[in-house]
Amino acid sequence: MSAPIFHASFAFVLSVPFLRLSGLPTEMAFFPAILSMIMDLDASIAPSERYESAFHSLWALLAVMALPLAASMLSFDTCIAFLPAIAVLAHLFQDIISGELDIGDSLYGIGMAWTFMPRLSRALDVVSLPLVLVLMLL
Amino acid sequence: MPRAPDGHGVQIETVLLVIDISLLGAALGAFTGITPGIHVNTLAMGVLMAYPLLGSLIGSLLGTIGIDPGLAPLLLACLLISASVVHSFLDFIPSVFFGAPEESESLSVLPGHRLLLSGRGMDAISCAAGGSLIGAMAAIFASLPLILAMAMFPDMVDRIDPFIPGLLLSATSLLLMSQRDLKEAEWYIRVRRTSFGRIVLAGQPVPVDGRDVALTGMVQKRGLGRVITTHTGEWRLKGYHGQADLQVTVEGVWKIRRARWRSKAFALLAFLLSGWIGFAVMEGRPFGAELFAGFDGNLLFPMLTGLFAIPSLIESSSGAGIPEQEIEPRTDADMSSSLKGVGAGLFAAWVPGVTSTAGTVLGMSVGAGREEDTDTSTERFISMSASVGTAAPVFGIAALTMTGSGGTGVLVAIDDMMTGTDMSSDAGVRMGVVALFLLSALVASVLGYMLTMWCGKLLASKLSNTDPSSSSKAIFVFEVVLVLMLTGIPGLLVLAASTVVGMLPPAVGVSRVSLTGCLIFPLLLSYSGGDLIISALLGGA
Repeated sequence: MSAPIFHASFAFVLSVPFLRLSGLPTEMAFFPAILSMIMDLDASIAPSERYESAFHSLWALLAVMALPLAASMLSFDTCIAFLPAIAVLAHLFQDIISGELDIGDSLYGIGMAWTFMPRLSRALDVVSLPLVLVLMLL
Repeated sequence: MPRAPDGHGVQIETVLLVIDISLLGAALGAFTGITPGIHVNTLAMGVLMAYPLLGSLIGSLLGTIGIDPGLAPLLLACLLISASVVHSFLDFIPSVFFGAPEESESLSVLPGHRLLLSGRGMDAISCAAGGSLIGAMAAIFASLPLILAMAMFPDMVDRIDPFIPGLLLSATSLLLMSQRDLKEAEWYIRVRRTSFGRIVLAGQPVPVDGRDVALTGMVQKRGLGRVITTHTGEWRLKGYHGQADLQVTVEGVWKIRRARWRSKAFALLAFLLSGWIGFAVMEGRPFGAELFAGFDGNLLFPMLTGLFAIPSLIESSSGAGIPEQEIEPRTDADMSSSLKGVGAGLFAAWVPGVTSTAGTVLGMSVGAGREEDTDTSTERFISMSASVGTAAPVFGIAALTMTGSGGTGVLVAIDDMMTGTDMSSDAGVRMGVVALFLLSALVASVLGYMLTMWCGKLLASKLSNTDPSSSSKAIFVFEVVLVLMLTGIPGLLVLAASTVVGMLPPAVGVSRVSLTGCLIFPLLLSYSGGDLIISALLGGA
């Protein structure tokens, strides 16, 4: 299970290239970082339903994926609207490969034991934190 | 600066003079460190004010022994560096034994005091001294490559600057996220029906979430709610609309309530309340200053004393007594936590506006969530906060050398004294000066470790088996008098307000780290421009 700081740093690392390409300020990478970190709050707010109706659910994922579409229709900056999607995808990816979220039993109804990759999960945790510093300096 | 005969390096006399003056600085730093309320920055300002006199006095003394009088600023700078490093070692002692913290040690008051009350005050001192030593040594050895790296990438600090608000916000979020609820899960009964019939259970009811339940017992008031008391226990009722103090049978469903958000919500409240006090102290107009503003006027001291020290003094004054202390420590500083503290110290020293406390909070969040026992986590925490407190001034020396700006009173005084000398302009000489500064820090670190352990053992043996109520009351009176003398009427008001807020975390069962809002929240406001808006709204300048 990844600690909150590793969720934040992985989301930060994924967001920086996107922000650079889209011409937005790199400092905005803290928004997805903090969002990814506070996603685990649903363990406090809705402990028994966090994979069904809280931040870790398919509905939350679909909602953030639909945000860019809604933003483009409302003439809002579409690139900014992608940031929550990056945060949620990064968080779920870390949860799935660390085995905290078993997608075979919950979200998608298909058994995928191969998604449990603890070594990759730990490697991402270890690498993403110093990468944050490097990306800030570059 | 005198060079060796071959034109390179530094003369041996200069090195010996730096070591001598570092010994004097260590004595001064030991005094400021162990005396509650006196900061090394006060000493630095005193030295700076007396610099014209001290500089010429030391210069003439150097002239009489045939050494360049122009070394006087360098020697005074080394005196302050040594005092600053030794201070950062010893300032942990009053926080453990007297509960009087400074900014860098504000977070370790409670953990240190807890170990003292379990007879392990020396363990706290040993962890702090070891953590400080590791922090100082690692910072000294990392400073030279860091300076070289800074010379290659001069805009490194400028690049990090825009990220500071985000980093502080992340640190705050991590701080709140890492709060754990200590309270056990609570079972309650969601009432569907009540009657006056009687059901006799053979044994203790076994609560299972969602399972039906029927119990006969006495319904009583508890706070705002109702409970049913049976011969096997007491259960909270939800949805009961009948009268209290009646023998009834309730039928309903077992439910479990964990209230996991409670600690996070209270931590946020403590963070915001302490943040408002910090904002008022840093930006507000001191109320009552026209009557008596004190001799120092720095309101950070009463704020930190009220938030972190007075509540633990009040707590210990009604305690069982300081138990016999183990004079020989059982544990030493944790290496990995101390090294983590070095990273946080680097961050606090190089990034403007980030204090040691903010650095400690960030450092703590790396690896948060690891399950370990309370004592181990206390030792790790003390090691790290001590390491941050000592690594930050050492890295500050490197930052001052490269950027020409210092974030503390000591560094500002050094910068003022060195400005205009050839040591501040010539790049080659500057590296020699940095080497001497680091030598001074090295000497001070070794002395600081030895002094901390010696003072710790002395105090641990003196305070063993003493009644804390009398000593706590005496320290309490001492703190209040000190606050009144140094900060006057505004200080007393700040002390009263921050004491009330400081008593909140232990009362609601959350970590006192959330009180670091007093330093982080004003920074966040300042970076976001919120301070100006709030000041304008409140009728300020």
